[in-house]
Amino acid sequence: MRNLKALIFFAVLTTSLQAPAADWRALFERAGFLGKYAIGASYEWAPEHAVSYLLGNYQIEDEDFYQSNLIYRYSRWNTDFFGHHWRPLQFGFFLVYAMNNQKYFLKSPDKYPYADYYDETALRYGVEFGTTLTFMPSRLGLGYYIRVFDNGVIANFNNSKRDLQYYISSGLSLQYLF
Amino acid sequence: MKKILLVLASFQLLSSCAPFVDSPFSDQLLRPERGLNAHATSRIPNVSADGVLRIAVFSDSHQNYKELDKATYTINQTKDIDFVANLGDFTNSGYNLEYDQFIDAVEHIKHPTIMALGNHDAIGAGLQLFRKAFGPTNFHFESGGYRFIFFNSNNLETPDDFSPEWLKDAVTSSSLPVLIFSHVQLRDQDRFFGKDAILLNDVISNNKVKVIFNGHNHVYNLIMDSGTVMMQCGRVEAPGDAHWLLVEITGNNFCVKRMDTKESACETLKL
Repeated sequence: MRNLKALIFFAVLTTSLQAPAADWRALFERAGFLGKYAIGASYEWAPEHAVSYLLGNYQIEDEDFYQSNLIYRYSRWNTDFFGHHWRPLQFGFFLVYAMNNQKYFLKSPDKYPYADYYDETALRYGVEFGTTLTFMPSRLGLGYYIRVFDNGVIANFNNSKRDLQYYISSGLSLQYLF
Repeated sequence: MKKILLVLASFQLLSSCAPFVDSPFSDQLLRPERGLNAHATSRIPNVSADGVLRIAVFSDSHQNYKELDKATYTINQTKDIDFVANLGDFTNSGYNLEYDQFIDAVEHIKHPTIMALGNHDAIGAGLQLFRKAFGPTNFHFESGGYRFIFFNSNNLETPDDFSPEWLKDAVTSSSLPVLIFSHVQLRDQDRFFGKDAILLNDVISNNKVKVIFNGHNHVYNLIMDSGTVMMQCGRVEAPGDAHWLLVEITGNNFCVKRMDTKESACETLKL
């Protein structure tokens, strides 16, 4: 499972790097599993396809830690909305990676009794649905995303009649289209 | 401007669909409950009022919420339980979302319910989440002529919070018979060596200690060790009904009933 996650991570990254130049966006996001606040950039090599990287912060006992976030986003519809650009329904995958190796890990640390004592905890993934409106001519954008965390989907799969309320998060994104 | 306000209002409406969770790695909890263990102990009546101490024990539910629901339902159907002890591992990875889900799952248990910290609950921000929701990991309380000690035995995950010295002091300072609730078995040879093992052996062999409950190993086991009942609770998920234990102590008699198989076994306590 860990190798599969790494493969998806690098596949998305490699695809984005090989793409021809297109639009860039600067991103500032609140919550949505990406951190209390996250900043980063989005690269759109076609109107339908974008990949984003954001660095987010999270807190444990008021101490700040950081996480890397990678998102692939597919926008089937791009439409005009009173002169602004609107992507009414977007779908994507996200990866979140905790950069605090003291608390989260990809491989169970040696201090535990045997290898793979714990499953990895640092890298998680999920799916997102969202919508983005880019105001013209200011080029400022506003996005709203609902993300579903993989851990909850697995729990839901294993437990009938269990809803996902604790595994869903809203994310609000402020963007600037270059 | 009206159109922009309309769009902003739409975003606000959408954002009410789901909470804003900052990160699965943080110590942010959506559930508002705090100090749950202290609240539970404050609700425990005189456990010996009717001459019988009855404790429901469950452990290692991880993310098996369906089985956990079965266990909590049958616990609620059982009368005269003095309190419920959960021996930990109610998450898989100690994420805040798992803590929220577990608190949601057990909030309807009618009896006072006290949680011990499991090793899976202690990784990541788990220790901080436990303290936030439930309170200290090492604590004791007294009722009905017993001292009940909840002990954080997760030495590898929380080395700064693991204190066999504290446990030994809590036992030796008691003038009452002692029951200990721990996630890891105190004889665990994968975890406890040297000075720690010596201290824990002192605890096990102390004649004030009558019963030590543990989970962690996922299988039911009942043995006597140095005159102390070592009661290991299996995981909640079981082939039949959900696994939990109903323990009854009457005078010198210790009786435990497995609620997945409905088989019961009794061991004599020498109080």
